[in-house]
Amino acid sequence: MRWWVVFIKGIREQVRDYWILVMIVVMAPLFITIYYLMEETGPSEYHILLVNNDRGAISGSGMVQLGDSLVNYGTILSGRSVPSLLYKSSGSRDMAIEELRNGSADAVVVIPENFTAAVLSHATAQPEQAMLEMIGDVTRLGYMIGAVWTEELISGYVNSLAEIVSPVVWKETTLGHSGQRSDFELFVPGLLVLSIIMIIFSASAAIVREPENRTLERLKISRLTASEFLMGTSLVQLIVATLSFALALLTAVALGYRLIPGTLGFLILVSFLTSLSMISFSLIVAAMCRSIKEVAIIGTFPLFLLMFFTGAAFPLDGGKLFEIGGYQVMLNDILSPKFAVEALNKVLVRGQEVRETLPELAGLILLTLLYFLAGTWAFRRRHMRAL
Amino acid sequence: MTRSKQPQPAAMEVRSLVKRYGNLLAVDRLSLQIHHGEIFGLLGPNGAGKTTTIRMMCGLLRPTSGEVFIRGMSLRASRGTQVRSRVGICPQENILWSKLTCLEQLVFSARMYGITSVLARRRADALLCSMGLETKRNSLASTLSGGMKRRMNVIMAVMHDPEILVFDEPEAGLDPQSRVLVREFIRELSIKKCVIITTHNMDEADRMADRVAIMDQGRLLQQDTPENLKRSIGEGDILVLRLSIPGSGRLERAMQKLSKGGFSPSCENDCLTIRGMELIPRIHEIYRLLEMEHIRITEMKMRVNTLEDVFIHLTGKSLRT
Repeated sequence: MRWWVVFIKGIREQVRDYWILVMIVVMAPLFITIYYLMEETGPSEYHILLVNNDRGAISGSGMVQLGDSLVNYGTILSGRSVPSLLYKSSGSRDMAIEELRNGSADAVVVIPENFTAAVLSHATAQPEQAMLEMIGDVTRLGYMIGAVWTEELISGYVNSLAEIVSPVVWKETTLGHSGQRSDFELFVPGLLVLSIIMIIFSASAAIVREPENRTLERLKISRLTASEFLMGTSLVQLIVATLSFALALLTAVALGYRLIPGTLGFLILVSFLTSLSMISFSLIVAAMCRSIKEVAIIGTFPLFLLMFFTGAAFPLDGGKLFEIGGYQVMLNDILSPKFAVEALNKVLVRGQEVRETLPELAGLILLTLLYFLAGTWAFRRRHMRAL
Repeated sequence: MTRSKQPQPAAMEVRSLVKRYGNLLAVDRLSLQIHHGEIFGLLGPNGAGKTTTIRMMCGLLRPTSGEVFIRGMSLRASRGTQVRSRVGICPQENILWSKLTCLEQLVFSARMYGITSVLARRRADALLCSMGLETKRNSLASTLSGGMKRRMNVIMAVMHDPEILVFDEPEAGLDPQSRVLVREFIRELSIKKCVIITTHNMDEADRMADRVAIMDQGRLLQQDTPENLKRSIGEGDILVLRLSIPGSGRLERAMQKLSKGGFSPSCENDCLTIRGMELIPRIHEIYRLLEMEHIRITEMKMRVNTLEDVFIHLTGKSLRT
């Protein structure tokens, strides 16, 4: 039970060295809060301004104002579609553009003066065309989504006014829970994995502290084996990782993340496997370093890779290398958190069954084993080598 | 029925130990035998290979060639922690877990050798008392003074009750009171154990060691009891005189006269050292010979050979680079 004694010692040291612990554990909730502030909350909304310049036209039943009708249609539809489009009338083109500039609107639709005339002329021998103007900042995601959906809605409405039956109709089916999720919620699975990636520093530092202070020499001449030492130390870091993950999840829930009932067990399983994986990865980092300062310098590089090339911080294409039996081998397949993020996205975003994540879980376990074997071998060779 | 008595193997034996770092030969074919119940001093200037030697003795460093035996069992062949745990080391630097209390680290250290928690606590309390650290039982190591850390370092080595104890500069950085305490502690340990100390302090080695080995540049120069070593460079008294010399050539003439008179004089700057048996009754004779050359004595010291003399005699006066 020497590993247990090492574990108790590690707990004492970790708690007494509370600054490192606090920084590691607080980092993930902080990231989640930053993402929450960056993204809009609740299901995404797109604000569309309608500028009605339509003069109307005389038909058999009198004066017709189809521009007003379009604005009323938009107002009635507001918030009822997915994604949520909020239509509002604006007094003039200039006023609407000003609102675009200050960010309170995503797109502007200008209804031309001949709008009614053009619609009514459709059935005549000389049909007229009205030019609807769509204005927006093409660099903004809000404009792109708002413009596409607005065009679709207006086209449908105009077709019905002109009594044109379109040969096609669109139906949108959102994958899993993605349609009901806010942008912030879509980031949460990756950020939960990120909360575990963060422990690389504390885990590597906890291991490197012994050779740095030369206390490892005392352990090397004792009966403690390298496996017992690593087991006791890793168990402490497993607790740190669990704490970090739990705090990150609680923060996300407090900020509006909706946990799908029945998925908590799966979340715990993935967090457990990812924690083991990151602790094993830390052994490799620890084997390369002689001091905590070196961990801070050398450890930044793998942390950067794991954060940005696994989809933890944001979705990323891993870069295809080659294909084996239909499976695309990606450049980031050597980074285990990629599989954790993918597994969480499958269940929490795309609504897939847990059993469908078996390939990702297998990848995660396999890489964890590889990290562990490489890490223990390198650690023994670098720090535990004596007689 | 007759029973042949098997000779006890040495507590620690090193045979033709070599440690090479690239082109640097840190330890060169060193062979030593250290027995149970003795204090063995390992002396040498900086860079002589003392620390490298004791690190190999403890199993912290792999020798390039040669063997270390503990109670006849090879450290290399056994590869076992069982053999290695018969050694306790007090390193030159204080190696403590700064975020553990004194009691916690003593207990932790003992438990790494399979000692039960109850026994470890009892032993830790006794050792803390013996080193005057009982009031610091629950203080973090990081809050201890330098001297206290040093004393903690000493007792960390003995927590698992090893047969062989290695103390690397045990008195370094200690105040006189603590030095006496540590010295007495080590002396008491040597009754039942084999103690190896490395030191620069010749006085410390002379007072404590039963046998002394002097190393330089990785090689063993000489090993024997302190008395025999001192005797090996000449017996009798040493008279050290600081002189005021009025002109050139006078000192050389005085030294010739002293040599003819049966003394062994040597001179460095204005300091004349004379060796010989029973010097005290002959001081007036020396005084007269010097006065004949108008040389005046400004300071006079009488002493016997020390280990430092042996050390300087064997290793020279030049600084190691």
